[in-house]
Amino acid sequence: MDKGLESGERNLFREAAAAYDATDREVLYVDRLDKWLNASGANDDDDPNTNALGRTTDTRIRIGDFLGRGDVMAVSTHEILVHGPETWPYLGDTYSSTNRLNAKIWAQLPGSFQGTAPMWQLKVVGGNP
Amino acid sequence: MSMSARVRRSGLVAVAVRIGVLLGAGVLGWGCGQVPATPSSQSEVLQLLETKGDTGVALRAAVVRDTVAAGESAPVHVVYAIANGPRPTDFDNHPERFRFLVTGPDGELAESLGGAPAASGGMGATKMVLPARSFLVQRQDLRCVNDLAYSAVPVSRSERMCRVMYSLATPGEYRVIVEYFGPEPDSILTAIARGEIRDLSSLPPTLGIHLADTTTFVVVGR
Repeated sequence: MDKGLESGERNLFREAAAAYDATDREVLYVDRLDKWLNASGANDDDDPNTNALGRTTDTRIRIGDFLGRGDVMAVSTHEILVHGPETWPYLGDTYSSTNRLNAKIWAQLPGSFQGTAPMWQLKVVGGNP
Repeated sequence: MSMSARVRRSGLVAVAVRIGVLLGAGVLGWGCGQVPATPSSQSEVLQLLETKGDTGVALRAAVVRDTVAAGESAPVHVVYAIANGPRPTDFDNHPERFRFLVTGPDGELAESLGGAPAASGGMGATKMVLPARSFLVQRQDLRCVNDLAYSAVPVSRSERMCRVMYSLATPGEYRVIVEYFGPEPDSILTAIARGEIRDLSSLPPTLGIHLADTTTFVVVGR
């Protein structure tokens, strides 16, 4: 059993690592204003509440290169577990199951990583807990 | 990930009307004190504003034109309104929380191009507080359900970057079903984030609100 998890509880980071091993998508770290990451214009301003942190398309997974390691861990886990099974159109972000998974990603982040995941905390649980 | 709560809006039109006060952009071309450009089912659209959300938010839908010619290219706008009740209400207007289903004359899902009958609209300031007794009125063109959030993704050869296009080529009655799927309650997400809820399978599929309404229009042969 993984440390800190209950018996039978999913280890999301282990699942994500396996999925990245298996994916054919190219994984890139990109600038906040990368035209794909910023396709919606979400990163045109400095408002952290609205920034786009990662984006998955049919051939690539883009992760913001401006993120701390905790945010990278959370965002990359979200991208591969939520959007990895999808092809266009990518609709999963608003699903209840995704909301819950995002919160669970936060719960499973080691404490030392939570301190470097302020963007994830803000987006997923509004700065709480 | 498109988790941004606020991005540019274009095709989706937001008009918030509160007794005598126009809160949003009047892209529909009308608001309080203004008269729309004589849509054929104007009364049906205006009836949306007669909705009374007595206890919370309610969703109502109407078509701007109730008769459409097969093969024409003019927009087929569905207008949908969120009517708020007597208290200010937190509301997430993320376009992916709305879903449009269109059934054709045979009762089956109407033919569409561009993928699943998906949600729509460029995202604006999606998390907002609806004033008491207010309406959030938006519209979508069934011929070109678009979404600026995906505008940089070359998913369509259409210059209009339609995410979904309904051909509406077969004469007969069509039904539009508009649905809204609300976000999970913060209390649940916080409990999960704190590790107080570990087994997600123990939860029901969703704890957010689900609203729906339907309207019809007719496609006639030329």
